[in-house]
Amino acid sequence: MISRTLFTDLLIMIFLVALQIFVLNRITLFGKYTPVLYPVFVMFYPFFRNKYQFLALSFLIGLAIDTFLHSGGINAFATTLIAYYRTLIFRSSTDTSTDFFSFQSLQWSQFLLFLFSSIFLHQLFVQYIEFFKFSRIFEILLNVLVTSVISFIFIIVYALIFKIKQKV
Amino acid sequence: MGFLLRLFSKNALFVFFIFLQIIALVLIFSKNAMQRSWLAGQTAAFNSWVSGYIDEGVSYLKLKQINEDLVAQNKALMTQLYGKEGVKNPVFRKVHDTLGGGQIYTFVDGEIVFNSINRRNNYFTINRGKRDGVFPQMGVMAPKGIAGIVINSTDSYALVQSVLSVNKIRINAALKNSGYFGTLTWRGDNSRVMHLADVPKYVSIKVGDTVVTDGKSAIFPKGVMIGTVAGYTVDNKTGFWDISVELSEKMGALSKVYVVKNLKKAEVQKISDTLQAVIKKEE
Repeated sequence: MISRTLFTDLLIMIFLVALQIFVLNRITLFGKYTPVLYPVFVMFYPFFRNKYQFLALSFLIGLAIDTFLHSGGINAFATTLIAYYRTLIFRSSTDTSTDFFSFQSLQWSQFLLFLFSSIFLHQLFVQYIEFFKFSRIFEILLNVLVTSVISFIFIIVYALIFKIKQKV
Repeated sequence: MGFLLRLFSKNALFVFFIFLQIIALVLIFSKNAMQRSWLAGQTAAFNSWVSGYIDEGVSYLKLKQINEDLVAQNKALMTQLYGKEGVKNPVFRKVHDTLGGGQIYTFVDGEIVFNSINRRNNYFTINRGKRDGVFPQMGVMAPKGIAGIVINSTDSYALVQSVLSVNKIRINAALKNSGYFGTLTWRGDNSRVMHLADVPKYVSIKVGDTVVTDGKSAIFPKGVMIGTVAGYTVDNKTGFWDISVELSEKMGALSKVYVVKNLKKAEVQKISDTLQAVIKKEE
């Protein structure tokens, strides 16, 4: 495995954005649910690297998605949010209070909980900001849940393919 | 300042995060139609909320000026409304047969311009005077009953002694049913009640009986409404009835009156004078 640099980060970003926009966004399951994969960039970004760069890149990937989807800054907002609170989500997924973060040290159930919490939070923000209607609060919640579950499956597949758990 | 700098350097990541989120929010609210319209609506609501208070404050500060404007406008309107009334020509009534000798009374209508009811001797002023044929010793009637007697008149105004005068008014009044007459006076206590004296004790009276003028004084015609009997007792000093008469006209609310003009007054006066002369001679 080549070591991650800013350049490889950008390559991964381009790959993920292209995958999201040109492949996944053309898939609609059950008529209206679209899997969301690009937050894996945030979730699986190596720990203990420059946090500012991490935040900036998360913002950028969200902004890139927004640019293609013409959705303003919604995805950038949600992605930056889960990037900033990633360690918090990670900590609440495990029962340890150590500052040593690694997926290798995690059990599979904790790992899956972390993934699901992240994608659920991300979708929660994205969809509530996008619909922006309190009167449709339950309809949107259902939408968020279904989308999260579908995306969760895709994220697990991604993690298995690239052997994230073993590497990061 | 140092505190602020320390705060920023300690939480630099958080500040950076907030900075990115603000950019995202700005983009959200500037690029999306729904969010933009929501923001516009909220801004408008907030704007009107604040400027509502400001307007209220400004209008409070302007109150004095507005007050002055209103007073000026009121004054103009009042001048327009009331100022011309004095020059209105009077309307004479029942002037059909003044020369033939059959008609005794004519009437001049007028309006009260000043009135009082709460003194011992009350007066009111009407907007008719000598020019309209109003002279002293003429009776004044209101729509529902008698009101007073003219005591002085200028060219266009007349001063009227109200019936509510303790010593100055004695009106010949009669009970309509029985025809017995007496003298009506006011005792200065209640503006609705006058007292009828000199009615003999043997006359039967009921509460509610009508009291009218009896037409013997040359001031009021016969049968003008005065009021109704409200109560009666025997006056121990004189042995006559003391009858309380409730006036049918509310003297405090007078506005329109009619002045009674007796065309035969001079003649009546002349014959009365001869009576006086006879009495004098006999004495």
